[in-house]
Amino acid sequence: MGRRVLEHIEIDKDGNGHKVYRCAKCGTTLGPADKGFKEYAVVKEASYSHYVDAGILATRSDRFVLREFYCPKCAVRFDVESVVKGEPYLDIKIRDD
Amino acid sequence: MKTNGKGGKANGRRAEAGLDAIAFEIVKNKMLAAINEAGAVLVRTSASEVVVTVREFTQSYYTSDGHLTLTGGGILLHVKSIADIVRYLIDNYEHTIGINDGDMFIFSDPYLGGMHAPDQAIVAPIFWQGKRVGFCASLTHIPDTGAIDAGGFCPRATEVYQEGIRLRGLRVMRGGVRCDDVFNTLKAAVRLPDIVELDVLSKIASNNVLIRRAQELIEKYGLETYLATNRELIRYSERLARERTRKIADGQWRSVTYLEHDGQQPNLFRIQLTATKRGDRLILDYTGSSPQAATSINATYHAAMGCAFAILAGRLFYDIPWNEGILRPLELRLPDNCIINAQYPAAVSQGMPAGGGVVVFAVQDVLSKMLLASGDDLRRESSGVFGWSVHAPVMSGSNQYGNFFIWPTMDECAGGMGARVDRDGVGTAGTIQTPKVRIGNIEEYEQRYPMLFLFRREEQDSAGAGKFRGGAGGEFCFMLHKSSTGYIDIMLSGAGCEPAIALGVAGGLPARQGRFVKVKDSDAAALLRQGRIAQSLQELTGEKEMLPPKGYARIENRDCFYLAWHGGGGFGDPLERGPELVRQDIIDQLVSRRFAECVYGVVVTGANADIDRAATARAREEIRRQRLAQAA
Ligand SMILES: [Zn+2]
Repeated sequence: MGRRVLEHIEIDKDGNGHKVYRCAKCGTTLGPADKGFKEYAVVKEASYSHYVDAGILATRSDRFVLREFYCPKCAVRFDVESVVKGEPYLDIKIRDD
Repeated sequence: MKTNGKGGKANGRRAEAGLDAIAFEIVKNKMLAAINEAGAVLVRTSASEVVVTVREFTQSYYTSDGHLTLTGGGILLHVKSIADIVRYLIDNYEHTIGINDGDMFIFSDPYLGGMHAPDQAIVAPIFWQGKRVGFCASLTHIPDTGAIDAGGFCPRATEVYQEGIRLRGLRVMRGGVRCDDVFNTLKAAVRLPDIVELDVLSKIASNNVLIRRAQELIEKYGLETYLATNRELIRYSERLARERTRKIADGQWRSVTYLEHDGQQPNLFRIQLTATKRGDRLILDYTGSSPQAATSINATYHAAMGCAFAILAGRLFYDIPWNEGILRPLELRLPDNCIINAQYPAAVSQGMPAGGGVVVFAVQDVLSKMLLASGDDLRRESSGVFGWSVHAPVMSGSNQYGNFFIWPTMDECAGGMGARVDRDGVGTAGTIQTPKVRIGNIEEYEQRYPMLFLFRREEQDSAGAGKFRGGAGGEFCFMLHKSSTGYIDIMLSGAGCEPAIALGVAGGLPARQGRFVKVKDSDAAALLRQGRIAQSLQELTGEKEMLPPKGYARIENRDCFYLAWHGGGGFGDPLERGPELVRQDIIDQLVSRRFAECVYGVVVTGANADIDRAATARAREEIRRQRLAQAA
């Protein structure tokens, strides 16, 4: 098992000893750990208004978005950001040495 | 850049020489008991609803040179800044007007400590045989400050001068005798003179308890043991706090949260927090946050520090004595002229529900992620953000008896807890930063204010979804009833009405936003005459106006006012939630069937909400398919 970053994201070593992100749920290697894991996730970004019908949010807004990050293999949701449109990804850097 | 200058090398690794471990425990626990007793005295002697019902107050002990040695619950936001007040008192008055036995000093300047002018602290020296051996303080949120707006949260203020009387250590007691000149001046400056006077007296009574119990401890265990315990308390907490901080994963996390309104316009403000953890140090850096606003949504340095203290105390160091030792691993970096480090004389009266208030959310967000990346014992302390709603409507006007009233509504303090890694958050649970806070009974509200409540309850679908969901937030609605003038005014001081800020963690969703809604010319009274009480906004006719998070509203006869406050953020992917748990939430009316299907992919049928296993499997598969379809 690798080093946990979030519940379903971990840093591990691949067969060549290089640090990579893995999905902790399905074991899929996402990519080299020299970038943020969000770069390798499937990203769904939609304005708040998109979430009102289901009842997730109560108030429409077109300047705010929810940004969801999924495992490209098993589709588990790694993380959700609630940000203004255009906000750079909120990165996490774990020191794992 | 202002920093607290802490976060250096660990010091005081060894316990106080000659201090007996058992004596230390006894004195420490008796000090805590005194703090709790002083709180009870405050509740019994104040007449302010914020104190008596809501319990928004704090008591604490300080060393003779002004270091916080112990506090216990209450409003954690303030206790650190009172230490700064005590040092101000020493620096400015010790060699001028003097600090003598039986004196007490009153403070309410947010640029010295506290969050805004309604936060009023009374500081008292503790003497033993003619020598000052420490300080104690009691603080309450008073119901009025004589500001431009009743209640002292002022959306239209542009300078602190408009936000009410600011006190910088007036001597309210001299040698044990009340100073009527100060009382009379203060009473002349505020709208509710009798209640404010009683609030001052109750804090004096509370301090008297703190002083007497400290003196009894000295009498029984000796002055040296008392002083050594106070010194050791800070070192003890620092040692434990550094140990725990060391166990957190090293790394860097970033959170951004927002204020969507400045009281006048829907201008957007951004608060960026970069948290860096290295060894036994934690740096909270707000570089990149918006400059200070022209209105009252700014927070002072003390508010930003208080929010950090409150969250670290409540979420990370909950079992370590709360004093400034727990802050020593922390370095706070605040840019100058920033919305959470406003420069005098910027208006700051909404600093706590606004700039300071959302800091509470940001610190929790980074902390939860840090804990999640740490060892299993700390991982289990991770959670979604607690939905302490930053809504503080202050209502005022003429009540059913023809008397002027001010009601700083605090029901929003009953936010939903964030979901934990292994269980749901508790619904309408309370706040972290004010652990003793409660909300009042509807019957008390109706007795005091010109209102009839149609409902108050946990709001369906208000919790952030997840493998474990957050606790539900709440909602209430009242109609105006028998105001002798036919209207009341509401000063709105909210945030998180547009941005969803009670965030989830690890794939959990944020809780939905809070709302203020006015229903103009409603049929609530007509329905009552038919024997019906409207049970939702939808059941009411009338023009429904979504009010801004900050600003003003007038509620007249036939109007209703609706408030919804935040639930807690969820933990983990909702598709991993057991269908049985979702079914129970449906039965408990915490989750609607539509929400269950759209978010959890759980389909139930019939009056018993029986789980349709096949349809549930299909719904979940379809949600997964749609997620990956994004990639295309
Ligand atoms: Zn996966």
